Amino acid sequence: MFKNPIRLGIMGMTLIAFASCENQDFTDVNNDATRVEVDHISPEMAKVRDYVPMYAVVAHRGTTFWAPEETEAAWRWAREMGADYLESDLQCSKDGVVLANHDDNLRRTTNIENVFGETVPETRKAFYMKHGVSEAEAEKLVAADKASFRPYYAKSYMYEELMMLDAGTWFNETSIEQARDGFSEQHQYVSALQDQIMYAEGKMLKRDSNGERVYTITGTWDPEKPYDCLDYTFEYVNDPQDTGNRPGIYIEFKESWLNPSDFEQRVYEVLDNCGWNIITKPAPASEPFYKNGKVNVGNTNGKVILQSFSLESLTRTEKVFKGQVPMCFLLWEGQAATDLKYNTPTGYASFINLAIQYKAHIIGPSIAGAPNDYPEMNCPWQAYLIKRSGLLNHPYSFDSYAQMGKYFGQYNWGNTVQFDDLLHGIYGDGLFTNRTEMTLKYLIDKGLRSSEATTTVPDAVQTLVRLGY
Amino acid sequence: MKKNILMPILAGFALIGNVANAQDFDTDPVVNFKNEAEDVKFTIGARMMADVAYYNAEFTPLKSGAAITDARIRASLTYKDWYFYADFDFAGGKFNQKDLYLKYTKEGEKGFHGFKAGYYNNPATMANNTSRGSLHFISRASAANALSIGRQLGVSYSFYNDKFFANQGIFAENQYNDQIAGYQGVSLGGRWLYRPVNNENHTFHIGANFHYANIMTGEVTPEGVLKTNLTLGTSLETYVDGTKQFVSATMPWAKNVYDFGFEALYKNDDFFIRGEYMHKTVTKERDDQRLFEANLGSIDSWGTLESWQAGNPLGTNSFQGGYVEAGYKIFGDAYKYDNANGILKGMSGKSLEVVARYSYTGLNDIVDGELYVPGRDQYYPDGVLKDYPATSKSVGGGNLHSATVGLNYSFNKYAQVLFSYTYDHLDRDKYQFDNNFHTVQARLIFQF
Repeated sequence: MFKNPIRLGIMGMTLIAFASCENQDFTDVNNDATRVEVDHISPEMAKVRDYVPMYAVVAHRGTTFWAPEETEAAWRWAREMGADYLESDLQCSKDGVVLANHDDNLRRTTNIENVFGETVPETRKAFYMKHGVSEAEAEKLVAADKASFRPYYAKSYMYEELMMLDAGTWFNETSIEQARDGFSEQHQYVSALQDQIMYAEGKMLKRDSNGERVYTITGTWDPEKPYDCLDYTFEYVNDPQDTGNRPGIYIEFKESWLNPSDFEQRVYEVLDNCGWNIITKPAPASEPFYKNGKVNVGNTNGKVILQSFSLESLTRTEKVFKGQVPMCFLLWEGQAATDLKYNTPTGYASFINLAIQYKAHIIGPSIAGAPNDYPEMNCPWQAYLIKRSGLLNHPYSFDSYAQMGKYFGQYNWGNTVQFDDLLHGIYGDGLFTNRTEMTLKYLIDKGLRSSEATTTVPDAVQTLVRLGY
Repeated sequence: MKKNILMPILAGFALIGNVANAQDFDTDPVVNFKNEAEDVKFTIGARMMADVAYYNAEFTPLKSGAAITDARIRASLTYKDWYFYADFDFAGGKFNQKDLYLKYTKEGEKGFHGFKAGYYNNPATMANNTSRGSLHFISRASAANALSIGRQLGVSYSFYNDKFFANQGIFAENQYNDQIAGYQGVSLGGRWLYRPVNNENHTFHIGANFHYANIMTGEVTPEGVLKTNLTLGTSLETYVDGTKQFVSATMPWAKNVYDFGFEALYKNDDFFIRGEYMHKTVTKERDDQRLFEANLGSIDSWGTLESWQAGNPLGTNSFQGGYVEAGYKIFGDAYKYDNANGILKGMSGKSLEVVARYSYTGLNDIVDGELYVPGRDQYYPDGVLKDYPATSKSVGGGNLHSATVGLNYSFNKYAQVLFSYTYDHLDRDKYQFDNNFHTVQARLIFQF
């Protein structure tokens, strides 16, 4: 047996070498996606998940394509186009008004650099004095503000100061083909959350004879309670161009360092005050998503969807809302503090599991493709992991037919069969879009829009004209 | 004639010596040239190792197959008490400089004194001072791979007799001085043994070692700050797929490294057992003032140096590991001990042995109560998910338990085959589904 051990050894080595045919990639994502552990949404949370209509069309910032984002113009347009949700990014002013602004500062979407520069607004002292502070005390407060001032951050300004900004004209300067005089002539404000809700309810800003919004501020400034000492009362009127759509709102808690640590609780209270908190004021379960061909999501328990990229905000949202309001955990691949760093099945599943642990109901992955060219976070194995968890998948943002065709079964990944037992060629349950008109038409053409909803999509430009822009 | 032609060409390699010398081979080279009139001896040799391995992994696959894992050419020149040795590796089609040193040895009243200079293994380790050709295993223990010190450029002094062994030296951290910035750091290392039993049939030694390194090399950050770095890691005691991805830890701003360890070895003609314990502490340093000042002037600036430091904490990390390995000779030549280097020699002549080893590598230094999120490869203090800043000081490089059994057969002094099975159990948060690995591998060694 050992007569020729070298030959025996070489034969053994050869056999072992050729016996190994396993996949040798260090990370085989398609294979790993079937093996990683993914938690499943609880029956209790699944009930809240089902408050949300399937294939919901989410008007991303109202629209970034047709109108200045997160303004009255953008959200009125989205409502009239028939979007299911008006989407926004929430931050907080120095005096506690919950407002909408996407970037971490206001430079891109307002004229703040021209109005205030990098200094504390000149009107600050007068603001304090108008709200019960002596001149000497006001000067001390301004000095303190100057010492800690961080220019262009929303949290550095009183909301009344932010109302001095023009959030519309920049759009005309950067989107030449979509520019409209109305975006400048009708002062577009940095919107409050309350504004967004009112637009969803078919209202618009009440304006005075100069075209400025009507509001009052009551209370006395208290530097110990800057967020709670003043009350803004905004006035609204019924929008004469309202055609009856009642979309919901899809509101994002921005990165935790931009806002006070109890920001989620403050949003809870705004919703409460506006009658949009389904925890304290639930809608009848029988209320349909679409009624008489009109969007009716804003009258259902799915009227509010919360969202955040922030792990910290995810945990705080769970403490405040307790999973009783639909919540979307957004995903972005990168190295920043809230990003998914390891876009592998293990890393991706860990974020899904955190979403389930903290009672979210939806995952919101970015999608690739022009015109945004975001990181790809919704390829088949990723959509498969979300589906395994029982969470909804709301990718962002669909701004071209090519993107919709790619993720909704028309071509490309629509031909992928590996995960079709769960996905059936469809890689999303809702769509963030800046092109509500295009997305609605696509879903209608594909037969994915509810039969209760209208099959008529208004013309995008004519709608802006009708709204007075 | 042949000798006369080769000698001038190869003399450039040479300085000299005629005493027993540590090198990365046990066998005396077959090709040697002696000039007794000049008391000069020149040798040249080579070694080849080819491995074949099959891996069974729970989650992340490893690359089973075969590979040339060692292809060495060595040369030495001995002249009286002087010895020069050079050893180069071409495995994988890549050139690697191995040992390259000059040694002078002189016998004194109480023992032998050695002075060594060049590029060779830091003394502060038994495992790395044992040649791969003499290991009795296909790989060194994972603990030694991860925590022991390797080759460095420096000088050392050694002393040994039957009872005692001492070897200590000073080394450069970067043997080529090719760091991007800064001047190279310095490293000190030593190993000290006591041999209460040491005769032809039995040897027992116990010992301790110490190593210190001051890391001065690194990269320059955009702020103009020298950022030093230390990476520790090991493969799964195999070379065919030598990935260190499963067990690895990188520590930015590493500054001072302190190692200490203990070891013991016993051997008789038919049996050996040896083991080491290793402990490593890594402290860090950073130019906080400069980094803080560089961030001033933007709307994202930190307010004070103290707040910047609180948001960017630095911590000291500690790691440990150890191994015990044993062998039993079924037939063949007796096990041999190398007094000059305090190590066990490899197999020689026709022989058969069985071996076994347990190794523990601890590269997890995780603060209790911290939460790990794989998607971010980040620990969160007190289990609280906080976006910013990241303040954990934990390092999750992985804890690895490895158990190996092997059967080694030496056909003669030139050719051996080694067979082994290794079970690895990994505990690393980053690879939560990779817990168990099974490795069956074999090695063919040919050396002359």
